[in-house]
Amino acid sequence: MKLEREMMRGAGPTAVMQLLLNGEMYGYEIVEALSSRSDGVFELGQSTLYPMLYNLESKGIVSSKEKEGPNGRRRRYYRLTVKGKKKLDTDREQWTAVIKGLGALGVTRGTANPGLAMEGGAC
Amino acid sequence: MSNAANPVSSDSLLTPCRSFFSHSFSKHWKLDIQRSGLPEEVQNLIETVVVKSRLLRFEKAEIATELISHFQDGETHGRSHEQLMNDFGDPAIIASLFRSAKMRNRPMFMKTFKGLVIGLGVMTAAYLSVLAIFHLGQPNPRIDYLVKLNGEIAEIDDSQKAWLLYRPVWTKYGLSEGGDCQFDDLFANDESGTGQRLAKPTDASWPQAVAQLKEYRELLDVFRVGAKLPSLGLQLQADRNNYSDEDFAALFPGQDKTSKPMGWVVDEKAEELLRDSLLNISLPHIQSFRKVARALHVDTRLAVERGDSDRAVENIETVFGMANQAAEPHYLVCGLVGMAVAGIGFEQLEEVITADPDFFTEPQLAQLQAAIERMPIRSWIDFEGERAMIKDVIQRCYTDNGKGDGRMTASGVDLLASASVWMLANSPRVEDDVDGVAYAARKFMAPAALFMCASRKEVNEKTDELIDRCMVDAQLPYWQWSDPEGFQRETDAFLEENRIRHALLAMMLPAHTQILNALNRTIGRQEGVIAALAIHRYYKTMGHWPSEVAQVSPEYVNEFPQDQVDGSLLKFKCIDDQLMVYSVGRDYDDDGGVDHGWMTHGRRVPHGRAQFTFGPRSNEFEGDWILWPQNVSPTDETAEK
Repeated sequence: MKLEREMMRGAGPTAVMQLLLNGEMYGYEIVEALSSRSDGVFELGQSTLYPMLYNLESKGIVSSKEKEGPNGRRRRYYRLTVKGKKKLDTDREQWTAVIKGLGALGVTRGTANPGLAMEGGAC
Repeated sequence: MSNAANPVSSDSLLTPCRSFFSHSFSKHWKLDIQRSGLPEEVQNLIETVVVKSRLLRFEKAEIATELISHFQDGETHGRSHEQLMNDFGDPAIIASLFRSAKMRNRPMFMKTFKGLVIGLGVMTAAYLSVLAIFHLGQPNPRIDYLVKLNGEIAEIDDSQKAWLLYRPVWTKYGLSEGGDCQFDDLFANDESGTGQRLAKPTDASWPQAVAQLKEYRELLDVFRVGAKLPSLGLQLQADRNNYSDEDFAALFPGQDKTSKPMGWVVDEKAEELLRDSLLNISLPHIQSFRKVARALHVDTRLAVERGDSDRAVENIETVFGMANQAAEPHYLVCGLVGMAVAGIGFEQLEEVITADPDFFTEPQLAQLQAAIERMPIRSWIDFEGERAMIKDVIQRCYTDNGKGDGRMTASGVDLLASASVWMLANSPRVEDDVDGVAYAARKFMAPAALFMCASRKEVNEKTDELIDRCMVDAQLPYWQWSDPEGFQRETDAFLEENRIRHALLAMMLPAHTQILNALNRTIGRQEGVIAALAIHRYYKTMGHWPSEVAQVSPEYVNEFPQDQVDGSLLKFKCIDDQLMVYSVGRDYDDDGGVDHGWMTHGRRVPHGRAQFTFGPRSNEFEGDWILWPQNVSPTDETAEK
């Protein structure tokens, strides 16, 4: 399942930040990781990742550096900044709240608020 | 501390700068793509995205590097280039995303620089537009104010024009400015030894003065004849080339027509506009009347010494006739010189009568009184010349939309700037500044005049409003003015607040109150002398002084003169065979003819010769204003010279 553009616009940066929490990564590596580790949910149009990274960089959330990789090729590596880590913490709390809220509304499975569900059902 | 805690953040700040400097000058992204070893279609795709991003060179290089790595890494991860291209997305959209992201990520100095460039561009475009509008507008003078100014004179018959009589001797003796006629021997050192005054029979240098009068007898005789005519008859010209050769030789001794009249206009177009304007009229003849009046004053002293009362009467009448002729063109400066010449006549008359009340016969006094009454001094100051001059300058500074409105032009700004410097500094050295910074700055800033200067219509209307008010006041004695101080105060405040907007008016509008004070002071003196002559005539006829006005008027004067201060009849008293005629002065009280005078430069000066000013009642000016006799002191004469 792939996310719609609007959903990706909100969740994509958080997903990228989460990946970079463990260390620096280069572009294609991020693309691959997003796709494989999210079961294809965050399968970006590959090149849209880079503008997203530049935006995060302009906000000081990630930083980049061009350097030589293990295979001898020069690549640009991205890493999370201190500011980015704080931002990820905030995003994490917000997403948790969103999921909880959606669950309470019965949007997500297993967490429905019976009262609201009944109300919805009555309608 | 903060750097240690946040090392990555500072690195991120520096990255765009590093990228800028590392990629700007060293790399070419197309070469990188070609050397990437990627299939041609992938290279084309990358190149398309990079080109369409329309970013700066170093940013393109960054994107190229990133995308090359992307495709190389994709292949390393086992993806075919076809798959990678399929997953890549629409190049146009991608390029657009890259562009907006990269622009957002640009270093602050680049954003600032871009803002400055855009701002500068907008300002330059706006300035060029304004510049074009400014320079496209050209003044188009349509009204020949000179013809209007000379119109009345042109209609006068030549037989009534004194100038045609004066001109030959004027030329022969070099009477105008720059000529040989200085009448130097008519002056002697004053009693203080620090200045000069007109020679008296008691002076050691008197014989030289008498000899000089003899030397200039022809000149003075011509003036005695010419001054009897009602008009000077000199038609003034703005462009000196328009004077006849005879007029030019008389007015500009030692000069030729090709010489530049004023060296103060720096711009050729402005000079062309100025050449025919009323502002360019010079009045080289005007001070000559004062010279001749002083010569006649000395000649009157000679006549008194010789007991020749007819000659003295003729001299004094000549001075009054010249005063009238000097004031002929409707320019304030001419009117002011006319008043000064009349003042010289009053002094001569008073000097003779106070020294010897019996010198003149009663008919001679009547003749002199009539000559004084004939001088229409109030009409000499009518501000019409100034109105014409201002309006002439307006039409030479502004465009004309045919509906009475227009905007300031480049030539107009040049004309005004040059004229203002000339008026303030009276210096022709402005032309030296053509290459100067100030001149360049003025040229650059000049288009702002489109927004900062009042429109033609507005200036015209304001000119009419102010000049109309000046003209109304000029026609009335002080006591009939309506709030003159308020008007002057309001006018000064208006011009102060609108120094740029109404620069033309601020520069050219005459000082209303000062001029009208001078006018009413001279008329006050005239009225005082008329009253004194009438009373002296009564005395000569009756053998005693009158005790009231009714004894003098209407037999010796139709209407006894009024006080210019409050409109009451002038006061007079006679003590020890000395007559005194006086005004109540600024305290508006009859102090019995006591003049407490006016403190100036640490000394008390009689009001009559000092700057007696009209104004609201004030005890600061305690005492009366003595109109007859004003007892001219040698020091005052020196100041006059």
